[in-house]
Amino acid sequence: MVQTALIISASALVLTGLFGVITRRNVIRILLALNLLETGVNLFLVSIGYAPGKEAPIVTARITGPISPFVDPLPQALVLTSIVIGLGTTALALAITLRHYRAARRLTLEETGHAS
Amino acid sequence: MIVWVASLGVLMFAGALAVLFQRSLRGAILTFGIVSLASALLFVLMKAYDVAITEASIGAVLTTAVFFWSLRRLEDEGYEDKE
Amino acid sequence: MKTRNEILIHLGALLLVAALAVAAGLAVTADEPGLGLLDAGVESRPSARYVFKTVRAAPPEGGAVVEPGGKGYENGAANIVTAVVADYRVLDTLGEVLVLFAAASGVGLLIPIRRRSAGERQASPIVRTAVPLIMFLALITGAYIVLHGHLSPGGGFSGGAVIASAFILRFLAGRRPDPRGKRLLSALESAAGLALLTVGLIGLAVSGTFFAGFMPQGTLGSFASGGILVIVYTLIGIKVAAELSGLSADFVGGK
Repeated sequence: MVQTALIISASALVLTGLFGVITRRNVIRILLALNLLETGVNLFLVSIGYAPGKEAPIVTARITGPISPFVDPLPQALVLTSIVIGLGTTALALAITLRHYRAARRLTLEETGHAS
Repeated sequence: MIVWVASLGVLMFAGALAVLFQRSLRGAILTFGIVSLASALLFVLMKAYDVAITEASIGAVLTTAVFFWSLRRLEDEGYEDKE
Repeated sequence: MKTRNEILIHLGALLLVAALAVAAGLAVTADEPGLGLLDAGVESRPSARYVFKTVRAAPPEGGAVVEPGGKGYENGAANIVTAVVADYRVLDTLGEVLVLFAAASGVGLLIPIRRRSAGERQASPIVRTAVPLIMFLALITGAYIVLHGHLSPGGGFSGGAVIASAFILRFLAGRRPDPRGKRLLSALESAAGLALLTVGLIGLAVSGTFFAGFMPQGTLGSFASGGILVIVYTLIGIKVAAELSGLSADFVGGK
């Protein structure tokens, strides 16, 4: 039940971000929607590794046996990298936007496919 | 637990719609910061503490700050959102 | 929505989103063992070998045992996510450091130099007085998060971001970034990146594998544990802090 709610929340963010990237005209809004998309994907990845009743993956007591008592640590490690890379690409995209505004004096994409 | 997850999920979805359809750009950036912080809370609920602290410090603080700085520099050059 | 093209794009986007939602819902709730996501048992995944530190050697009969205070594991870090990021999958982390470096360099090259605008407001006295105090606390907290990445949640990336936030506070209080400080930050970032690669090459020279450990793993749960993991994560923390501070200085601009 909890996993269903988590996956639905993450997918809602991803689909809203995708809708925003396709339909918005302002470049800043497109970048915001792209960031929403990335946040949703990160949520989705971590929620795959979640199981109710398991603990956080830090060894504080003795653990035994072939069955791991922790949530899955592998998606968390991948999402750590993904969050930092999201910041890097957003910063670079905004720097390009600043340059583009100096040259073109507008921030909207007018017709389909043209940012004249 | 599911009450927290469901309410945070509804808040994130409403915030995402507000980011897309809000009229002012500064409000959209601020709402994006709220969505990012809500996702950090969801990470805490999923017992992913490293991911939560990274998302809170990088996603909610630094990305929002970078957006606000860019908007300020755009307005220095004479940009006004007429949308 | 003014033109016909815009209405068509909106409808097309809605249809695409609805189709993706239906497809994702069917995939997640599927009954086949390889496809459905809701019943993927966390216990039987291969990442259990990361948890029990039996990646390089097979797990013993009757299951492995990991406990705080124990010695002789192949990785002595108590935080398993840190062990995955900085020891088992350090090549992915190296690639991520490279991506962040490319992004920060791109921002430094592309962003226009800001002319000082006419209406610069100075920050209020409360902000100007409180910032040195809060900056001191933020630097200590960030350094703690970086150094204890193998014992508690945190590590190089979040600690580096907290240290960079301390420098951002100075910009908020009205202190403009100066070129000498930016050159120092850039030199520090490059030095940390080179030191990280040198650590990997030392591992190559000692044991024949890139980023092989050349320090003892120690007792799990103590500060001196994890081998070269502490060195790797501290270097990453310094690099990320310098990079994000330089990035923020570029965005704030000013002479």
